[in-house]
Amino acid sequence: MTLPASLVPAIRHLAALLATAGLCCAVPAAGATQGSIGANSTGRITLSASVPARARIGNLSDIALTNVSPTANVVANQFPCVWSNTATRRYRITARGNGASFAFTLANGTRRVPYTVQWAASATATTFTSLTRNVQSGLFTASSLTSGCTAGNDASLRVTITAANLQAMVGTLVYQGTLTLIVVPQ
Amino acid sequence: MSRLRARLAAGLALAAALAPAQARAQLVLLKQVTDIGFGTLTNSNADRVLTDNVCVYTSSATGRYRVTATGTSSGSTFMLTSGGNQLPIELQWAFSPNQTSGTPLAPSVAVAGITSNTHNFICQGQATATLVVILRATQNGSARAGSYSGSVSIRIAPN
Repeated sequence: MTLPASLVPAIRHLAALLATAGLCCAVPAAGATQGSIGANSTGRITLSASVPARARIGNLSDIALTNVSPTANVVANQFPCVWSNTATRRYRITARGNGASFAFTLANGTRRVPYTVQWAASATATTFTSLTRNVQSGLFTASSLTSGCTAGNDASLRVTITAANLQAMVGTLVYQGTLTLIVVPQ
Repeated sequence: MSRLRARLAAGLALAAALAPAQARAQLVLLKQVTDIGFGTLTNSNADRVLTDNVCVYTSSATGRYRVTATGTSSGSTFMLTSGGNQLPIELQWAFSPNQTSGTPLAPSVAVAGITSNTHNFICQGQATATLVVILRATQNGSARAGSYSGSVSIRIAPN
């Protein structure tokens, strides 16, 4: 038997009403909430994301000490930016030179000249913490609010070569080294 | 007695269904929505985009409907929260499945479109739209550590 075409929309609507009455087509429960057929239908989903502890150090610059006088210590200051996303915004920093066992040394062939590294968690610091090669520091607190360090710098890095070590250097030779700074969020 | 009541209800429904077309309310249905989890955001250098293929049915022959999203929001932005910290997300709606972008959704602002499903009133095995959820790198990159969550209601209405 073939249904009259005029009845098809009505039959379809009846089937939808039956679904509304729960007389068919039960759907297993899921985490999200499914909509029900009706004049309006609303579904609800839960969204989630986990952000791990992160830190970033930026705004570092190479240090070039040229034609320095060996009669006094030479001090190179710069003002990096550190960002930590933990609740306390704290971090620890580890400094590693590229000398033997991460020594803070500049080199020209087998010639070595040591330097020291100091750190402060402020761009206007007058008191610094000496960093020991490859030893994680105590806690510092960052003040940068964004990882892009767009709101200014919040740390001080000081590298010093003493007059005695300068005097031990061979003139006109270029001594080079690499200092690595590792920041870990706390 | 319960079988008699069920038959009576079905009979009343049939009577209503066979009433003149002008008296029948337009029906809609939203199905196959799923929870969306970004997991641990290890990469903060790129946008994260997740999608959910959903099914929308409307009894309207034109297939037209409106979609409105509501949830935890700040102004025109949807938010996930972790304690007092907020992580903004963006929602988009595509009127076809398997899309990676669509029409932006603002909280409580309806967007109109068309579904291809005017027949499958239980949305069995059919996807007709895409919910797109975006977490921008600019937000992810500076987000405070923590577990974020939120919920969004998606409302389908006739149009």
